[in-house]
Amino acid sequence: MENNIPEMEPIASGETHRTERSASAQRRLPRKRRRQNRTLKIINAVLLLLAGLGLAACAFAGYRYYTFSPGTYDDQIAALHEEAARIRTETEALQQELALEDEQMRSDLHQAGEEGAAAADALSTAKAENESLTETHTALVERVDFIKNIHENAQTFREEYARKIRQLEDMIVAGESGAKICYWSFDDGPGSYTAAVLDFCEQNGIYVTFFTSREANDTGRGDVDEPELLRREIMGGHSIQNHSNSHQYSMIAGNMYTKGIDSFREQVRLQDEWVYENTGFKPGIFRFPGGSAHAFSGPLSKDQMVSVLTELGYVWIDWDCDMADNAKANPDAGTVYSRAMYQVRKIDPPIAVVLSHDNYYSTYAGFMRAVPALQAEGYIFLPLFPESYAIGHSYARTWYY
Amino acid sequence: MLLLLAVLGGSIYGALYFRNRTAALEADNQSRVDDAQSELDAQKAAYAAIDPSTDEGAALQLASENEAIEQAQQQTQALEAENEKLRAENEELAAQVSELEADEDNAYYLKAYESMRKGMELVEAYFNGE
Repeated sequence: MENNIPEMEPIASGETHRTERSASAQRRLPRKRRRQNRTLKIINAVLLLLAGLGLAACAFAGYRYYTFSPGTYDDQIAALHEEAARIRTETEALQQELALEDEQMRSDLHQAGEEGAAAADALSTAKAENESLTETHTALVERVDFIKNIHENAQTFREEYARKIRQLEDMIVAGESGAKICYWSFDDGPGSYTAAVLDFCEQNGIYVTFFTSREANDTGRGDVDEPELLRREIMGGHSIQNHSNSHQYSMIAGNMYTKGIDSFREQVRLQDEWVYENTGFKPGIFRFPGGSAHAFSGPLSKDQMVSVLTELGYVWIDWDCDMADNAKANPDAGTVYSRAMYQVRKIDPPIAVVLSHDNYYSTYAGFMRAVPALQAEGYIFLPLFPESYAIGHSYARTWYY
Repeated sequence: MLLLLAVLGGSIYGALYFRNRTAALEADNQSRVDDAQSELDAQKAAYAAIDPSTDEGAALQLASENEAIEQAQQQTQALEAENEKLRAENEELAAQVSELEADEDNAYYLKAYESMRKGMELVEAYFNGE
């Protein structure tokens, strides 16, 4: 083997010789070196390849990353949300429907099958019975309370009743009602025919007024149980008023109009107490024995006596129609009837106060005839109370029949 | 060679980096999808729980009916007990009323009241145009 070593040009210091070795020169390198060079080349090639692959992979990964689009996921999520919203809406609708059905079922358990129907019927029965028992209970409690306070309740009701009658009177006076009222009164009782009068009134549904006098003795009063009759008068819904205790009204000395104002006061007070003790109701109207004209003609003045009456809580009244049925005149029943029919019709406005006495059969008989006849003409028979229009408007007239 | 190594190293790192980021993005979005799916499943379950055509819904309905029936039965029992008590009280009150009405004074005032009430009806009839 020839050594063809080219000549080298001289170089500056520090430089290394880069020599191009020719193949032949290379061939002259040691084998080991040659092998190393080859290995390096292979390694470089591999590294290059790997680097290339690496770059490609990196590029690919980078491409995937930067081109990543959540679009498909968003679409999927949107579809899932839409489906979920739809089902939520359906659930809510179903819940409402079921809630309504549940409410209907609870309000009518018959919808819950046989057992529900049985429970509903049992509950309904129990409720109905409870309602009824509660109503009864309330009514009974009220009834007990009412009866326990019956005296007060009756007095209160009487006041209400009196106001109602006054209301009707005002309408009659104003021409707003075609009603007609007859206040039929019986003086000096309780008397011999008071019980009969009460029976007749009860049978015919009418009401009258009794101007009572405990010791009146114009005529024989018979064997009457006065307290019992007074109570019957009240129980019948009639009015009891005051006609003085003794009924001693003549102007002879020693009688109510001549013994001084205190004596007069005593007459009113004693009768007032007697009626209240026996009936529980206080009178409020005084009728002067003999009438006011007679009473005011005596030594006591009208003002004095009216002042006493006011002091004792009284008003006073005379009458419009006079049956003139005293013992001396003693008219028969027919006369009483005729007088009643004639006189009552004359009173205008038609609120007539009738004077009679329940001590005489003829009065009682005439009364029994007059009542239906006057009712047929539209008259109603009511009790007279202090609130009445007739107080202050009723006055004794001179009748010729 | 060092350069190649550096490039290789860098590219491997880059590839891994981007791959991981991409995976994270995918995981994140998949998680959102899973959440939406869970929500849908929950809604379906909620519907099924009340739907009477399912066993669960039917059982719920039956439970509600049974509860209503039981409540009604309890109410009935309570009312029956109260009714029993009311009956006893009413009997006592009725006896008390009878006793009070039998009293002479009470009977007297009651009769007076009743008579006045009838008189009042007579008067009131005129207000009603009778």
